[in-house]
Amino acid sequence: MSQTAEFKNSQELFDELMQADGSPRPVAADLLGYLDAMPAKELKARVRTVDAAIRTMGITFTVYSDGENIDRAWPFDPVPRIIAKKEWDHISAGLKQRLKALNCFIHDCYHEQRIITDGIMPADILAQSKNFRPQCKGITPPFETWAHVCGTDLVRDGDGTVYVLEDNLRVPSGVSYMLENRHVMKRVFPELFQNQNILPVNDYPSQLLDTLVALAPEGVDQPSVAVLTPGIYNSAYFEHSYLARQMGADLVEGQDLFVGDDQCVYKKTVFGPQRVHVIYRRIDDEFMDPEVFREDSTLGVPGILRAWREGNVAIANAPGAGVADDKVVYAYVPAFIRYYLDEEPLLPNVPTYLCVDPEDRAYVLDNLDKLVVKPANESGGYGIMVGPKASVTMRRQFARLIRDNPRNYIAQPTLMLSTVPTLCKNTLQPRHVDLRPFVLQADELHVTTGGLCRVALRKGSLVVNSSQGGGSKDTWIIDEEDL
Amino acid sequence: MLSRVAENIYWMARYLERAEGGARMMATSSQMLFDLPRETPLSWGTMVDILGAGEKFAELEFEPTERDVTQFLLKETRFPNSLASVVRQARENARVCRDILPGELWEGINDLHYFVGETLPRVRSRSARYDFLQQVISRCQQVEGIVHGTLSRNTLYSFMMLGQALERADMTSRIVDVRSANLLPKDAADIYSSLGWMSVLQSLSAYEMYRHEVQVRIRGQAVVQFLLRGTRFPRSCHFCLSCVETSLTQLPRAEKPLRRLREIIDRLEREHLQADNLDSVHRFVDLFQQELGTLHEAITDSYFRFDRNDWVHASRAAATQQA
Repeated sequence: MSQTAEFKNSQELFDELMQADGSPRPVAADLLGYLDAMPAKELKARVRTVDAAIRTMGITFTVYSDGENIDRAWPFDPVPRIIAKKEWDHISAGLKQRLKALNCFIHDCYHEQRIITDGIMPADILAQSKNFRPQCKGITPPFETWAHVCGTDLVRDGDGTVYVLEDNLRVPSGVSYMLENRHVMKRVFPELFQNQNILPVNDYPSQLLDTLVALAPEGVDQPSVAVLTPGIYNSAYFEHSYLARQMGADLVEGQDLFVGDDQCVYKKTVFGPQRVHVIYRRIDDEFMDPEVFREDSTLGVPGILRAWREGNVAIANAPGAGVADDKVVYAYVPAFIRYYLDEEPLLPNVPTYLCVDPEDRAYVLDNLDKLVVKPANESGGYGIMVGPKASVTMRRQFARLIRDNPRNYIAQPTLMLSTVPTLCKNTLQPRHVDLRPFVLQADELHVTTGGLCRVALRKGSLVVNSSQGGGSKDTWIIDEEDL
Repeated sequence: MLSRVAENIYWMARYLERAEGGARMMATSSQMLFDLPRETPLSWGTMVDILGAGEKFAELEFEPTERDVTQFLLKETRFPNSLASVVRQARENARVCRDILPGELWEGINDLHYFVGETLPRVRSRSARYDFLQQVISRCQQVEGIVHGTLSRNTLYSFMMLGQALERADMTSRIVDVRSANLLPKDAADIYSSLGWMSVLQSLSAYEMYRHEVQVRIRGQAVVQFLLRGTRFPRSCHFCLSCVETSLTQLPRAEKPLRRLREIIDRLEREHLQADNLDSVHRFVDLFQQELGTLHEAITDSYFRFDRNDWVHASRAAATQQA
């Protein structure tokens, strides 16, 4: 099949696999040649195999209020995104640098707050942060690290620059889909992997386990690790279960744990209570401990914060780490990198207007039709307004929201996210993508090889979230030295 | 193993076995009813009674016709023991504890779920129904094969066997009940009586084994003995209870359920059963099922229920030990 017709790149669009003149990029030449040579019928058959594999493997995500059938097959596109290793090495170094700085910032927030006293960040921002937890002040977790798992969203703009769009460090999800996407690709297109040097992705679960084990209280020989899930109705339940299985850890719900009189955490087993040393929690801070946070939470474990403060259990990410997962704080990350690490940021931020700043706010209100407006503390693509696509009513509504609560909003220029050819009704068409690599930090730092590539399946759409009609692709890092 | 997970696994095994047993029961009953002379009225409602579902059946305003009964037992989502419901439940339970199941086992259960969901709406004729039931049975057996071939003999396996054996004992007793209950009119000719016992054996894949072991012509008394008290045939109630015993002895804190189990086995061995008196068989089976219910309660108390006071006490003991 021929795909070149659709891919005359206009100046504002950057395609990850095709050059502006419509020819394949060197790293994508093999793949596109392979697809070109494949008869349409054969490709169709392979796509059917992909669907069957996804169904058999039970790769699902959960949709809220979807009645009886609560989990849905994962929408997957078989054309991968490809990144050259040289570019990836740079990105990877930038991601590690960023997480290191973020962890310094979080630790600082709960101790001296030098970042404020030294005048780098205004005090108001911390004072008004939704995710700052005063209960965590003065605590020093192992390695002074609070965010052990970070999912960083990257986007590439029309000019080819890769920007950091946001840092997700409360309970970022998606890594299991990254791993399963590769699994499906190898199952359905094995010959692609025979002839090219595509770097493997499957060491993530062991790196995650190493990271978690490193956090265990001192003197514990064989730490017991548990993944704490809100339960089967959570949209990322598949992933919680997947990671627990891959790491050989227990998948627990709040009701499976309790805190004993000795301030240690135990799980309820058929053999009696057994100690838990490290908890990889996939529930939000607010629900973790009804004694400290939301009293009405039935998902959490009463007393778990006490056990954590005593150092009897490690929690990843640490409670309070979300203070850095805030789109206003985001704007200061380049400053954090300079301040804490004395380095220049390797990856740029998207230019960000803070509505809390009167000058920025005036600009935002005047240019709502050009900007993307985001609430500071939401995730999953909720509550966002894409200016150029929004109705007049919608813009008016957002203007009101911004005036009422300026601290809660930021705005950014509308980026023309890069595209990757995507199979739509048997032809390849450009669809916008982003990329979420995962970064781990404890005694060492690790970055996934590539990440979860999300794709907006609707034509022209810039929203890639799976909860809003997005799909995903495998991501290949190819060493171009081998080409 | 977490108590919650153990309970999940136990129920997953029960649901799977319930699906297979239910399919076997429906296949038997249908076959038996079709063997009867045309003028004999078929009493479909009995199948509902055998599953103890009469109340639900009436509540949902079904009539005891072939169409309604099969709809109710196969497809009705509001009836928790319909085939569709138990398969969905088995899959839900498997999904909740996927992290500890071998991948193939999950895939097998997931496949069964999709097969049932996709095929059931198309099951309209008697022959399609029969084929469907046979397929369900064979897919369940495939899953069982995966269990035996891939699971380590650990706590997980013990809970799985516990659930499976308990449910199997229950289902076998119900299938015996199909024959002993008044599915057949009281005055049906002798020939049908012996045909009936033959289909009971066949439905449990027990025909050849019965022939081999018992070596007499198919007679009610011998069949009932074989299926309830046989010690070698893997679907006989006695054999299943021995499996329950084996599983329990591999688990901690099994004293109470074991005590209950031994009482049940004891009664099963001593009870004087008269197969030619169908009412007496029916009464026995009824009692047997109630006893299995109390055994289930004892298992739940030992492993799945959580009494915080017990546990806080135990955690202190564990802490002292560790210190």
